[in-house]
Amino acid sequence: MAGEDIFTLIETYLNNRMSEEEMQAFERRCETDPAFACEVKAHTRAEYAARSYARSQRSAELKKPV
Amino acid sequence: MFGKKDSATDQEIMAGIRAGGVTRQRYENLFFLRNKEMVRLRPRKYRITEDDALDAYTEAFLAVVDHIVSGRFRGEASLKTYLSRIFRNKCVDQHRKNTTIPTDWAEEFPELPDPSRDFLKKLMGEERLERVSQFMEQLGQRCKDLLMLSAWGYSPAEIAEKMDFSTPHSASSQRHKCLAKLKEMMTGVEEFED
Repeated sequence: MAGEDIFTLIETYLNNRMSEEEMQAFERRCETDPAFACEVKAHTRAEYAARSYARSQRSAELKKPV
Repeated sequence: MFGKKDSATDQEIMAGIRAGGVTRQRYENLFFLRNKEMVRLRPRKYRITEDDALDAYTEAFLAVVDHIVSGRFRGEASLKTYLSRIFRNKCVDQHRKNTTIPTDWAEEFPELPDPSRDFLKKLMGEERLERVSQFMEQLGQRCKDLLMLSAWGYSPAEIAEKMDFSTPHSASSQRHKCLAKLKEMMTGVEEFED
């Protein structure tokens, strides 16, 4: 994985900007390469946390009485 | 491009939300307020309080916005009908909220096609993420703001303008750094050990 831009690769996957073949290859790699799967999980957690936090902040803003 | 907001049609609301940035927030607010009556008229059979119904409504609303942005909702039904359907499901969730529900990892990635959403759920397994705000609160305010703007659909160019970055590329690069910081904070936490 050295030298590979894993960050961009995972972002491209999570934002659905890959072709079907690339997505399948990405998912196959998660199943066969434990270190890669571990990176994907760690990135997914962080991205999920950021999105979920943003959602809760927006939700609180929307619920404020007008 | 956008007509008078008060009388905006579903198509105009969807286009406004897809436009991103400030326009998105304006049309979101309009769409949110226009259908908020659903909270008062909530299905009685679930016996949820008005506060819980407001939570359910807000969650349903944000899910619909995600579906509009990601293209999962293409206007097959009216926005109100679609929102009402999801609101009903969220009311059921509120009704069951005392039971343990595992984290739905696919929920925050509506852009992904169904097979990849299923793959992601399988990959993440039964992991639960309950301390989201605790991790986010440990980040600096600037990182928090940047990650939130990005999650709300602001483009790197809009973020650069709003947060005084010299170029959209600097905004993207700072976003990567903030996310890497968050990732590092969450790594090594017992509940996420692989």
